[in-house]
Amino acid sequence: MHEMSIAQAILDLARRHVPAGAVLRTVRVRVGPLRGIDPQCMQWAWQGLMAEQSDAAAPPALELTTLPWQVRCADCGDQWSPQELPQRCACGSERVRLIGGDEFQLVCIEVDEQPRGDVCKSKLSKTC
Amino acid sequence: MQVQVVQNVLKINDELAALNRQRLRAAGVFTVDLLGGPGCGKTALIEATLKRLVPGLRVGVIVGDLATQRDADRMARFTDQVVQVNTGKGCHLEAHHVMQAMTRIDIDRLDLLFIENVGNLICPVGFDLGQDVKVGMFCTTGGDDKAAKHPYIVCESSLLLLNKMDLLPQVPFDRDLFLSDIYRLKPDARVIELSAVSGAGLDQWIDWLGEQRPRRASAGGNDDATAHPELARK
Ligand SMILES: Nc1nc2c(ncn2[C@@H]2O[C@H](COP(=O)(O)OP(=O)(O)OP(=O)(O)O)[C@@H](O)[C@H]2O)c(=O)[nH]1
Ligand SMILES: [Mg+2]
Ligand SMILES: [Zn+2]
Repeated sequence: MHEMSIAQAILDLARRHVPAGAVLRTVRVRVGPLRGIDPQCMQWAWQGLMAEQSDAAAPPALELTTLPWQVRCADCGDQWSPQELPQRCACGSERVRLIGGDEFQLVCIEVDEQPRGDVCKSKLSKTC
Repeated sequence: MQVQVVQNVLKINDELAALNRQRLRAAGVFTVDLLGGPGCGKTALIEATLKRLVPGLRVGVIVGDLATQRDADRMARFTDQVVQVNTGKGCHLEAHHVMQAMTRIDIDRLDLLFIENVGNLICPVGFDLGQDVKVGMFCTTGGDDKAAKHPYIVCESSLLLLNKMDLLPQVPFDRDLFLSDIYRLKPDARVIELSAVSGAGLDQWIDWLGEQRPRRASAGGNDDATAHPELARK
């Protein structure tokens, strides 16, 4: 259910940025690992939402990029981007600090300026 | 055509939360969003806190659950300013729930507002409600790995609570491991160990609330900043 309400939030925010007369095609989102978003669940939630709220032949797609962790060693100062949160640095230090990971942004959207016939019934289109 | 956006995905929620915050601050209410897994003792802690706060302090509670009125009924024994929000399928409270709930209590007459979030260690964390502080709650019966598995709540909470300390002798819970996982994620984390049932640690919790609660805004008029002392214990 987490992903479902987030899918709705993404769609609502994306719709704000669709220029008048254009049709939403793709939504690009970037998410940090701290947010606990499972990409597969997120896609299912998005498709579920589209099934509910869009009757377009080709509803907008969600492109989700999962960012790696961003950590810094408090002892040697080394910074890196691991896939898993590390227990220790290569220098042996256990003082590995998080310096990012809570990102969650709608980066951009792709829109079609000339809606085709097949999307004209879409509730996602502001023109119909 | 591409349209650049670069905005927080939860921006619309954040906008509503900002309105809640404005309203609560203007009314001089200090607001705590209490987060934790199902059954960790959120309602029990609020009950125990309401019993101990100074008599003059006016406290409201907004409590979110998927279903039932039960938590509100429990807390209604201690204050008449309680609103139950049923989120149905929703696994967390959002700013619009709180905005709606705020119309059902007398915000202008409150000093302190607890928002008990839906029992969940993950979903509620990213949703701003307009609170002053988020407090994340774990319990000894939930397992010593829960902080490590839920880094977001550890990082985002102003205070972390470890509840059910009275049960520590009965359950396999590696306290040192639990605490070191927290400090690894957040070296400056503040942790209070307590028991809502035995009352151990509650003084520390109430002192913390007193330290955090800013002076009431004197802009309101009738209630001047000194009308209510800090949250002194009974
Ligand atoms: N032994 C012990 N039991 C506790 C403590 N705190 C809460 N409990 C018990 O744990 C159970 C759950 O407590 P609640 O206060 O309902 O927990 P909650 O976090 O509000 O639960 P939800 O709202 O359903 O997520 C109840 O049976 C409480 O009596 C504690 O410090 N020690
Ligand atoms: Mg409860
Ligand atoms: Zn190092």
